[in-house]
Amino acid sequence: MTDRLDFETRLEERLRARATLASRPFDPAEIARQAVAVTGRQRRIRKLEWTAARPALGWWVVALLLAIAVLGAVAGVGAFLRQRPVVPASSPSNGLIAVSANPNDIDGGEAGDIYLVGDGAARRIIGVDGDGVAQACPAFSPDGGRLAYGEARASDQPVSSFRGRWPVTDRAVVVVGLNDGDASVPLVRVTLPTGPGEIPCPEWSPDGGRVAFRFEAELWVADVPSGETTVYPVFRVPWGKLGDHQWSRDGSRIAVAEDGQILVVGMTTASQT
Amino acid sequence: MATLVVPIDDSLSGAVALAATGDETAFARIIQAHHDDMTRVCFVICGDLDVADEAVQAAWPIAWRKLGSLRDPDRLRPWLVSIAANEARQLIRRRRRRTVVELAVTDPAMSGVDPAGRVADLDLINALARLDPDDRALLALRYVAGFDSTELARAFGRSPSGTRARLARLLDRLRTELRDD
Repeated sequence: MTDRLDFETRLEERLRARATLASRPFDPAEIARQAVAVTGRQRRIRKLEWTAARPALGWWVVALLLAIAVLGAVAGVGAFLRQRPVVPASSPSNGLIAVSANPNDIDGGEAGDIYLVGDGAARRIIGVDGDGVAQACPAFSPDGGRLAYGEARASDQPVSSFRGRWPVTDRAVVVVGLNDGDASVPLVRVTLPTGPGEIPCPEWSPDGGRVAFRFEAELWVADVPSGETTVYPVFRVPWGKLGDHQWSRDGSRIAVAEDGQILVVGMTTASQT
Repeated sequence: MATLVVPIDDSLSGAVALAATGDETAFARIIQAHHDDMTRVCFVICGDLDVADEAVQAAWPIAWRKLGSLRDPDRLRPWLVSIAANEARQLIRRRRRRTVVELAVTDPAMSGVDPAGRVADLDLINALARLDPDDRALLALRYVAGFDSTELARAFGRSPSGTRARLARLLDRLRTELRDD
């Protein structure tokens, strides 16, 4: 141990002796001037490098923004294609408007509660926060006293934040009575077979005695208020392209539209043309 | 063990503050006080006075630029020496100077020294030349600049205990190479 300490001491002495050989005269003012000049030059070089790099950086930013715009456009178009337009229903009797708030949101339907709009104010009449059910396609009966709409469970959980995903399950068509703008308990509730799909959109018959709606490759017509339902085979339309259907003025037929063709369904004979 | 620690006086402390604000004259006073210490340390690391000068010349602009980041003026000396040592290590790595240094017969610094002492110096120089620049920097900072283990650890970015262990291994190696056991 002592030898080791002795060696360390001798090494220190010899290193110091050698280090003293490094003494040279120097001019502190000149070294300071050079240091300041070098620092200024380095800053100018960095500034030049940044200036030179700036156009390249600008192009990167432009490219990034373009990429974001393209992706956003693609996503937006995709969402648009998967949605159906929100069409408010106007009451024929009292000027009220029923609208389903955001029923076609790509993330599903908690936002799909039905609001009644009148006198510049909107009031929710169907659905509550956290019920997990989406309502869509409100339609006033010809006399304005009832409201039909489609609904579905947006998720399997009674949550308020999770919106569920389309297609949705537990679909149904519901008819409620309206008394001074308040919705009654359902007069009719036609439950559709379990399975994912689009929310059905009912259409009132001219006499207000029936509602018709599309379900997969079928046309369903339900009697109100008995709820008795007749099913007519029509087209199987692709997802996201649920075809329109329209009652004839006398309520004897329903025209079902699909890409490139129209099918007319007779209500009395269940005939198709 | 005697060290070369030079406490910073009040006037130099004031010079640090002034230089940090861009006072070139104050910076020259700092250079006056520490340039020699930095050159000695770099000389032990580089083994060549010209290269050592180059390293110190490169260290001063760095010091000028970063002086404002020095929070404790009492640490000015180890801070400056560490910058210079780091520049010397980088310079050596860039130049890959791994050749064994030969002592000139006419080296005026060695004149008047007895032949046995000159041989011992030559052995030391060659042993240093075989070391990694980081190891030479460790020796220089410890025995020439007088850094303690905490300052060494800070300079090398390691723990004090790890630095002590590395220094012990280095001493054992040198002791063997210099046949001092």
